[in-house]
Amino acid sequence: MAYAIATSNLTKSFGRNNVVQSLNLAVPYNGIYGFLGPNGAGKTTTIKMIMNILKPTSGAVTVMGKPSVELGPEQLAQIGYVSENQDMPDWMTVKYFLNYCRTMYPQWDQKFCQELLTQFDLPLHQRLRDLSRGMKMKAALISSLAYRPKLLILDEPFSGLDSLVREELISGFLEITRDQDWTILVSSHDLDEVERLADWIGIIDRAELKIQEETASLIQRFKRVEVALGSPSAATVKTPESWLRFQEDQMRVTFVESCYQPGETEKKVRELFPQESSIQVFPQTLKEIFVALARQYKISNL
Amino acid sequence: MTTIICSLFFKDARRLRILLSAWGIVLAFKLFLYVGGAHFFSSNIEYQMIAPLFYKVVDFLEKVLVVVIIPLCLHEDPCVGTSAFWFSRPLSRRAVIATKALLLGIFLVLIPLLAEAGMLLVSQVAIKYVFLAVPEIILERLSFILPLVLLASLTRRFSDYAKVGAIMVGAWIMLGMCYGILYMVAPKVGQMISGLWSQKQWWGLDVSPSFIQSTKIVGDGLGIIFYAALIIHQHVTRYTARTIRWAVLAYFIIFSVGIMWSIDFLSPQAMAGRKAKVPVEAIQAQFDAGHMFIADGQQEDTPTKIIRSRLLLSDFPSRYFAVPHTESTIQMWYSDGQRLESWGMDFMPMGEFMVDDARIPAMQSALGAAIIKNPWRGQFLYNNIFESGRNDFEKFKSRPGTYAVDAEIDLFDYRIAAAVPLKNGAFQNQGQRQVSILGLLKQENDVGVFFIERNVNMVFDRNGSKQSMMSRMQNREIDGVYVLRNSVTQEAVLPVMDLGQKVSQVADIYNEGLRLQVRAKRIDFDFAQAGIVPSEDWLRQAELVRLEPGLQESVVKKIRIKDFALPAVTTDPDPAAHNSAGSSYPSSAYGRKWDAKPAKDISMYPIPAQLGDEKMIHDYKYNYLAKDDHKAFALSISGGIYGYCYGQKNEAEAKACAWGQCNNRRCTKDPACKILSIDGKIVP
Repeated sequence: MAYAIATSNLTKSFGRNNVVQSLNLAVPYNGIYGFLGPNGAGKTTTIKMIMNILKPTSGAVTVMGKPSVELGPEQLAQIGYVSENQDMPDWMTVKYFLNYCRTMYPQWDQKFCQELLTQFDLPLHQRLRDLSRGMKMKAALISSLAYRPKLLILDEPFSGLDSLVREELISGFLEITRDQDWTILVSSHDLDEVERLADWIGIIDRAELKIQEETASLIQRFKRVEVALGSPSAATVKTPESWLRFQEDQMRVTFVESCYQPGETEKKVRELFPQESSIQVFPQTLKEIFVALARQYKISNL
Repeated sequence: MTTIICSLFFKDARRLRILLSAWGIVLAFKLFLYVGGAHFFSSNIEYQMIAPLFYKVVDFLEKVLVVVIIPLCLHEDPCVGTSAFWFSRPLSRRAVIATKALLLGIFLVLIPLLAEAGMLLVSQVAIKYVFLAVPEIILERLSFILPLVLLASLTRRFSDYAKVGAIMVGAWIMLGMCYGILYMVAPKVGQMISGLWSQKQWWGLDVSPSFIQSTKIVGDGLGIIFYAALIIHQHVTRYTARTIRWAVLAYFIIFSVGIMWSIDFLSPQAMAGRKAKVPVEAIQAQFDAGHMFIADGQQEDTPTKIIRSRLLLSDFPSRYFAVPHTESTIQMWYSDGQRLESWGMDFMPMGEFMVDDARIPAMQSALGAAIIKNPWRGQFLYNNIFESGRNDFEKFKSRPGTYAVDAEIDLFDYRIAAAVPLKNGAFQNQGQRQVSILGLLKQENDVGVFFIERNVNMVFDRNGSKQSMMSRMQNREIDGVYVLRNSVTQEAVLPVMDLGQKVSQVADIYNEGLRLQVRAKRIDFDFAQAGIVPSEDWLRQAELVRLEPGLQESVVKKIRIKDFALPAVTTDPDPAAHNSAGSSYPSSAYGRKWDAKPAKDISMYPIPAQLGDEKMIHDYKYNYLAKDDHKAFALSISGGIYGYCYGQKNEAEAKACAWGQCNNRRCTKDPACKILSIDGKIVP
């Protein structure tokens, strides 16, 4: 399978400190990949290596079939990049900024740019330095969307924004990308925002990739199961490894099934708890899944 | 690519528009002052005195703006760190660096180059010199700009740039201070370090102005190549740590080459390939036995005795005058085989181009039929001829032996570089030098001539005389002499005292390094001693002639003076002057009738040092006034402006004369103007 972004044993060290270690990331085409991890996990460093801003210590990155260290203007014209860590030319007005960016991209879609401006309601004649953080992020987004990049990389785009602005941005972003055939890598430490966006999820912690999976599969796979017991459990039961966060009191058992299969899980429950009186299965949010996984993989809390 | 470069260029230009406009205004003002000094205000002596000072201030301001503009331009698209906006945009590194080079090249190199070339043309400087100025301006601008560009390329923000810059400057200052302290605490180590800078002298190289400039050009050229390469490297690779390492290495290479460089490729063309015509064997050398002076010196912790005298060189064509330099260690050879070595010194430690009376025949030769009427002025240039420890001196003094040294003898002639009719507004443009007369001041015995001297000072001009700060510091600067010549009566008059460049100190100091140097000068010509009445007719017929020394030959002579003994006593008639003045004989100390006075009648006293402006005292504490010439007079004015006169008939005349001198410097407007002393006595 071809990937928009593929890393192979990607490692980055600063001195003796490994910031990213043996990372094998695979971002498929035409979807949104949520790159999750707590602060300091190595997300931004990974993205900078993807963008050829940082050189890997070892390993390799391929971006749209090209090694990242060979990314040049031609490839960068197909990639949009928005990062909270990116310096913006603050002295420019929004209008000048977009016009300046426009000259760099032959495929710049001015009509689309106008639509985005209308949608995000940006004041054209205000300097970037005078804009709020949210507005500035909108300007950065427009400058990275208006040329319809094949690959969009967003590094903590919603970080530090208040919830109202974040909601507005995410909604706007979803609306814009709905009909587009884009590949998007979005990093975040906020699970809620990514849940609404991501088709794929990758979780990095302490320099290592812990999980990488399609979101739907993940949600399908993880279910919270509540089992009501007719009588108290007599002995300690050895539960399967896929049951996470197992809790048992006298008349009730709860756990998160990480490999849920309709019928199969219920069957297993009945085997282990013959005195069960009812089994209820609840879907899990990404956050709940993450908390469950945190224990298993010793992932830091987001 | 072109579209991208244009877009980046206009983006940067827009970003810097306010600073660039300010810089443009400052540059225009600077050039206006530059050319204005030579062109628009030639009749305004006040302006002529102040303009160079303004020029330096504006020049400094221009440099400050350049220091600010460069990082702001570079930091628009920095090549350090990981957060620059352009890193993730389809901008090639070549496009970014090309844009920066284009912007800085156009604004900080091309525009100043065109502007200065234009201003030189407006100032009637010959086109040949304008072309010579082009590489010099480019070199000068690039050698100033590129280190700053490199520093800006290695930093991300202006604050980082300023901090690193301040640290580097601070480190240099600290290094200088440490060196100074080291020199005080451990003089031997200090001298060893300072020896690094004088390698060239150790190797016996002629540290001429052209050699100093050659070395500087090599250093600047290497700097430009290295720094440009490092800037490109940093932009292309963004390996900051490696660039820094290489920059440090490059700096040490440039520094070492500066120390080691030994080729003078800017030496005056007149000397190139010239074969010496003067038979070196014929040149005779002897000391002036009537002018031997023993001074106390010290080297490290050891007290020494320094012998000074006049090394009289003769038997070369009278059109030449000779300037000797030691090529080997000076030695005294004694008949019993003992040898006494002089502690390292050159014959010419100071004032190489002060006017020595021995040079007057060469002047006369250049003037042709016009006879110098006041040839004897008692101005002598003394040479350091020996230095030894006091014990050795006591042991060997008065003992005859052979004085032996190999000396390089530079033979100069004088040529007429300008001859301007003595009337207001007269102007002459003679190649490297332009002279325009501002006015005359007739006094009883003297005629003062005010004039503007414009000197084209191009580094790459191999036909012109060279000037530089270093050459001035080392007293290796060749300076000319002004003479009044009347071609009708065939008479010529030398100045009362020709202090050369010191005639207009302010202008000279601030002209330093300019390609078109403008000096306002006043020189007084000694008609009394010449026995000529400066009548209207005489002055109308006269012209101001500038005699320019030119190096014609350079020979190495093995000087062997037999039956010479280190003197036991000073035979110099003026030991007091020597004691204070060091090795240069203060010409201002002498009355014009020096030869008429028996030595024993002359006693000297200093201008009271406890009075007046400190700087003035510093400048003039070594100026002694001849008591026997009577009624010497000094005047102190606040702000370091001064006037003084000597050799007047009586107190009233001395006072009037000094006041008049001061008046010429506009100090009568100064309420702090006061008489300091008369005849060395403090005026209450």
